[in-house]
Amino acid sequence: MNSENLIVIQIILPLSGAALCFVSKMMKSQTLQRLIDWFAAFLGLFVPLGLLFFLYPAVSQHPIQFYVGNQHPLIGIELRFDGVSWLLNVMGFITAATSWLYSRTAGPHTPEFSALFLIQTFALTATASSADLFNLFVCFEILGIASYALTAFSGKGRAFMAAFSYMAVSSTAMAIFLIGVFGVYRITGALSYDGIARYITTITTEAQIVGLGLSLVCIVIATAVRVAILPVYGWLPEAHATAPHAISAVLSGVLIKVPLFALGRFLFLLMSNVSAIDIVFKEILDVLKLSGTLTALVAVIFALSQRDVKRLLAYHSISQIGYVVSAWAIASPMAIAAAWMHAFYHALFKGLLFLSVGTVIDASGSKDVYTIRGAYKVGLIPTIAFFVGALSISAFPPFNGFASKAAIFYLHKGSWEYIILSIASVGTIASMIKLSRMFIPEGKSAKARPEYNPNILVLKPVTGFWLKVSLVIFALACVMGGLFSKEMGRLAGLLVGTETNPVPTHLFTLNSIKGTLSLLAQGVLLYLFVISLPGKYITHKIETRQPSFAGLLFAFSLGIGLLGTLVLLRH
Amino acid sequence: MMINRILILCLFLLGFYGLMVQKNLVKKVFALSIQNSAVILLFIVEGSRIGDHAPILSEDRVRYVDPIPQALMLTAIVVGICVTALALALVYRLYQKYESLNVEEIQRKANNE
Repeated sequence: MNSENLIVIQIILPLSGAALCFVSKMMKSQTLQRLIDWFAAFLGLFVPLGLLFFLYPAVSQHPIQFYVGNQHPLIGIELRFDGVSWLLNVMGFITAATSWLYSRTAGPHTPEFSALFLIQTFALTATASSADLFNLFVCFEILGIASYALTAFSGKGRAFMAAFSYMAVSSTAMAIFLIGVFGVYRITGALSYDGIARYITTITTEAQIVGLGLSLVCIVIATAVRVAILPVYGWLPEAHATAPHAISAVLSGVLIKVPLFALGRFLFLLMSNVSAIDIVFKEILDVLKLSGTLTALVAVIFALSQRDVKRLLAYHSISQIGYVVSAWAIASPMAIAAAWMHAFYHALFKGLLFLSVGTVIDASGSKDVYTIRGAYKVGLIPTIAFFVGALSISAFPPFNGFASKAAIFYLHKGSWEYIILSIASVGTIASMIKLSRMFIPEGKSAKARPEYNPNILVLKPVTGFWLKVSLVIFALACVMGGLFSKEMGRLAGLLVGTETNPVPTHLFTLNSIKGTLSLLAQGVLLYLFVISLPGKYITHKIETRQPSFAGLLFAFSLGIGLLGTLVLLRH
Repeated sequence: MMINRILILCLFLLGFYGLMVQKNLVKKVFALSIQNSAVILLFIVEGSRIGDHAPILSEDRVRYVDPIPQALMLTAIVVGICVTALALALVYRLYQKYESLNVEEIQRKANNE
């Protein structure tokens, strides 16, 4: 079978799985229903992973580009499956498949859930290989609609509200995205990436440059809403904190990164042709780099202030995506490889953290980091899983976060971003220490406190085969990813088109261990400050500040206004 | 031609304003829909710049509209309907839960949960 067919099959399989799930809803017998669900997930999540393996030899040579069904280029849908698509699919399917396994124990179990989950996965792979702006818009919308519905799946009132705000902001963003698409089509007369890239070299007049620049601003800001960077990240914490745990893992792990890299496939292709508009690209990418770096710092301050454990993790996702964006915006192949590595490793350890913390939340019935105590009672596997995740996100050797953060720091060496990101790392360590409080055994003093609730603290060991399997898979992936980071770096480098390995050659040296220890010491100090009286006062002030509905939209228009003005002023 | 664009911009801003300011959730959904319609109108109006006949191939050479924006907007309309339907479903569940459509009241109640 040729690789073009393999790609189409790989995209269609999750969608057929979703259809099967709806079929299973019609079955009367419970056993039959579950059997079909499993088969659907196997077809939609695990088989595509296998197909990716067969696609590797072809993709590593050159990108595969074709029209679905060999249609005429004027009417056909063009797909372009390149190294980045392959890498995104690996990230998406591994995270989605493992999270789905977790949901078999922890719920939701309904066929509708599996169906929506598979539709979301389908949209992920379609986004990763679309080569046409309008197709990208449709993929974003499917991705969005599936994720709004999945956010609401936990059935809590707050989840519905979070899904609604998420939808309102992101639909507005998509309307702006369409306006951007319109601008690009109006000026270049093309929608496919190739067509736009061909026409862009012929653009010379000032009006066209400004028009195209503003259209690109619309597209970039609309995508930034999905990626959740400063200033448009306000919808994320509530949505990721209230979704079912398996969904939080996928939302934080994959959903915020795929739009970023999909945008990159478009922008970087246009940039490879020298044109009059190059300066606009540089400006937009500079702004994104600045915004990503600041996001890494600001979000970690918010994370440090949260009581709700899942909100804390959600803010960490924003902070980590800041690292990814700051590397991605450098736009060299090596930077993209480093950004992908951190994105992938973040998907693994954040998945692990969301699932293990989710297990503790379900067992204790509380989400408050100050109430939960003795969380180790839920069992050995969730406890180890949590600490593997926490050590990975805090970038301790030899876990995977250490390698990918080293790659990103290596890129920024000697610039101001390096300093900001280092401060953010200290914040990450401090907030992970805060989160680890859940595992402190309950002291006698806890029982004396007035807010003590005996029901909350009865933690039983969790059972459930699939829950443990999913945690073990993620934990192993975190450790292996760290140990074999150089091989991963080489693979990522090759697929984005560079021979250089983004991971520094001397990774586990005495110096790096010293650096980690000094970061740890600073983290402990910061943590001690946070639990001191003035620290508590400040963090409480930050925590109670909730973004309002109007605030979300205001931040969005602010972002568009600022970037638009910048482009206008420079021309 | 300019007046068309200005009117469409007004329509879009009206939707944006409604989404931002209206307290009632159903009105927010209306606002979303208005926003979407404004973008659809923009595509259709601009697509008709090069001609005003329906894009059907025939013997005599007539100047027909650019068919691509129209084709795109069919998809955009469908997507818009999906979003509206999901939004209304969410609003309905919120109303069942909190017996109110006022966004501030719902947020207050939800935070106290």
